[in-house]
Amino acid sequence: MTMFDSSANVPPDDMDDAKLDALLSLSRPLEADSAFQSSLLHAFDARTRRRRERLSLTIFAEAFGWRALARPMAAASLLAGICMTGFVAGAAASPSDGETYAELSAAVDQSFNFSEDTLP
Amino acid sequence: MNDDEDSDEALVARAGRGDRAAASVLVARHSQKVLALCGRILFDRASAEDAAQETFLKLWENAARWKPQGARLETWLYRVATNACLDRLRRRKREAPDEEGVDYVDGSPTAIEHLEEDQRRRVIEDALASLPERQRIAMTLCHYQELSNIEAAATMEISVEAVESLLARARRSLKAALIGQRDELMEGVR
Repeated sequence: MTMFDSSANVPPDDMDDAKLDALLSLSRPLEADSAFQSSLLHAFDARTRRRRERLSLTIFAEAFGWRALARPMAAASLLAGICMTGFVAGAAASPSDGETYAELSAAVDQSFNFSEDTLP
Repeated sequence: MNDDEDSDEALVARAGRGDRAAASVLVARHSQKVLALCGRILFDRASAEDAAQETFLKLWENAARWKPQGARLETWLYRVATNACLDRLRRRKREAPDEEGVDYVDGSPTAIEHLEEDQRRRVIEDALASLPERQRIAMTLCHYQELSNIEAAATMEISVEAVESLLARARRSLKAALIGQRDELMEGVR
């Protein structure tokens, strides 16, 4: 026996690799049933839908040469910018309270023909 | 050529363009193997399905710009699935740090005299579950998913030597765990 003879270290009832492989074959894998496969395709459908929605914005943006608009944050920023401009413009152009009261007062007077009664 | 004969690469490219039929073939071709891999790493159907879902979601997200770069789709899927499983194992350890895998079954020859098929399977799966996670992954990839050591190394992003070392240690641990019940267990494979 040489010092490299591995049989010296093998206990008499050791298990060889073939037996271990045979035992491991007893374990059964999980089955990917049709419900599970459907759920994977459902995720694909959702993903494709989202992509198409984004794609339509991309096509619109590219048609106008606004490539930056194709990015979701850029589109959101543009929308926020438009809203902000509208708000500021609306606030700047709003009539004063006094003018609004006079207009309303005139309209009501005309409609009901109100006049101020004065006591003799 | 019909869908079933198309290469994975061609199917992924079509799926990236929104072709549902191509996606369906990919699911039919790979979902079983990916779920089996996740199941053998996590030993829990719900978590395994969750990890497999995440894997396919990443495939759909990357399909439009997916490039093989030398790796087969299957290897890429296994890598993503393995990482998804490792994330879950780490989360599990954080949430229940005292639960370190599954306990070994009593390995004495007299402990289980008559093992039915389900019990035999349970003994094997308990022994597999008790392996350290990297050994279990290496064993699953090479033994059950039938990857070569080179492919397993690419999947686990480690060297081939490291895979060989993990496999050798895993086999040693499994033999030690199963030796006591060898005769009873072998009745199931005869």
